[in-house]
Amino acid sequence: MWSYRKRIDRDLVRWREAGWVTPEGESAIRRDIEKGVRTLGLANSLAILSAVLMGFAVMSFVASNWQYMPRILRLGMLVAALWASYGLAGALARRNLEGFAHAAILLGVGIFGGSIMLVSQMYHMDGNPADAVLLWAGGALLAGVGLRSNPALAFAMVLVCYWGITEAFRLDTVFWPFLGPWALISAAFYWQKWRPGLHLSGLALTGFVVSLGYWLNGGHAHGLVVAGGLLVMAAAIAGERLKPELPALWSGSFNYGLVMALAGLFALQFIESPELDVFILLAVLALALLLGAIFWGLSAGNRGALWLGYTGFSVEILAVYTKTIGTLLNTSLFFLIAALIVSGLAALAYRIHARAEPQSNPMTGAAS
Amino acid sequence: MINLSPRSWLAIAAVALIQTAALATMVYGRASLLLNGREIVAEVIPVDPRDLFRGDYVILGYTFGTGEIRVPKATVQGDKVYVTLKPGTAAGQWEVVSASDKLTEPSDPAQVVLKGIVSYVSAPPAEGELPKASVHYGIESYFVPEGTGRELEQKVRDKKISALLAVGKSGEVAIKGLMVDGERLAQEPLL
Repeated sequence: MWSYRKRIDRDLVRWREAGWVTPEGESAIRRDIEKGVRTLGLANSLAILSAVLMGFAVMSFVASNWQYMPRILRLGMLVAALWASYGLAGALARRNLEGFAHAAILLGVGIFGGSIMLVSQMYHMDGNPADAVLLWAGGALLAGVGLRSNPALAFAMVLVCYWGITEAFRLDTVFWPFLGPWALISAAFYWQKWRPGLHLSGLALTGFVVSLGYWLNGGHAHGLVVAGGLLVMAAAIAGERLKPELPALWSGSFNYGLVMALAGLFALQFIESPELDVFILLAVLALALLLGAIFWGLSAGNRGALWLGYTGFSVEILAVYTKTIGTLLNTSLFFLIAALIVSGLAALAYRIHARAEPQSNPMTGAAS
Repeated sequence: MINLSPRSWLAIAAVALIQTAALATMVYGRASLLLNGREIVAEVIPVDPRDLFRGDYVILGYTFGTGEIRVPKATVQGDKVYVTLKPGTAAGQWEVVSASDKLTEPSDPAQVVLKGIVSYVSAPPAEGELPKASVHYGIESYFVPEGTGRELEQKVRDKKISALLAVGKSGEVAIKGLMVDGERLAQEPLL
């Protein structure tokens, strides 16, 4: 939001000077942006934080196992608090305090989790803690869908990720059932048209795909991860051509595919300890992929890909340097190669930029 | 963002009701198991760590839980397993008869079947032998009020502790209470 404001601020001045936007139009746009900022204000963030704090208070109350109140009374208290939270959410929503209403829903979901813990404690249940987390996630998803609450949905995704990770480690293998709840919550995000939620889904799935490299084939399936990532990138490029009306979906998919491919390549280079010639081949591949990502980021206007490309390039160079220092590959030779690649990159960037914006100053475009 | 507000009281009531029902189902399942399950006594070995969210608790070890249970050949970590036990020589001692991936009625009514989850399978055994495994039954934690875990440990030091368990028909098992030298520590209400 902040960067968008800064950017539109700069652009508005330019557009007004070029005569494309009237001064009245400019002030109307500025008012609209201010309004958007205000609804995402500090009060709502603080309300969400206070809900999180209250959730921790509930969990600590359960944890203390306070013995001066019968257990059933404690549970009754929590259930009453649960109903009160959702009731409060309804009352707040009716007074058009939506941010506060979502905080109250999140609190209700937190109390539901605390109640699950209390019941487990009451009956000394020590089955599989992951089952309790899944039940909690189910409650969060129910509240998220039933009450159209994005924070509750986001929390459900966090819980499902925690569930998937603990189950994968407990069973010591790929935990495929993770994909079921993941898909459900992602569908809910899509239904809500909530972009940050979809990014959360993308992030979770990327993590899952990358983890496949460490579980499958005795922990040596990183090639598969690279292939999967490249496939996602290819699909995103194809999608961009076929259905250009969904630019955010394609640019997002491209970036997550890029992260998958890079994570796989990174594991192949630095975790699998390959032979030197294979290593060099992989490093060249990684650098080529990053150059491609930067090129794509510039040509498709995908800032995320550009950012990932530059960052990945620096990380790759640094990692290769750390790995090759003191080995057969001479350090100075390595720097020479890296310098040549970077200067090639600079020349390429300059040419692309010059082609894209022949009339403007070449020093400002590439970084923004 | 489109209109996300929880404006419908019906939706609010449905969410709260379903979540309450989920909690009630959990309570009902446990309470009926404690009420109707077959009562057995089993020897235990306590230690005292702390669960981040659930207060102090005592870890209970069982002779029929760790190490040496012969499980079916294809068993992997995380599998469900039904362990049949028979009474040992002394009271509170149980010996493993067999372990299976299916629930079977024991031939001898003195025997009891517990449902557990395989927590660890040891390395492949010698030719013709079944692999050995550790099994977790979900009765390994006993929660006590904050700060009283050590006290309980002092109290029961050098004494024989056993757990009073309730076993259901399909092998599910719950802790009814702890016993020190054959005497029940504290009677906990069902609810």
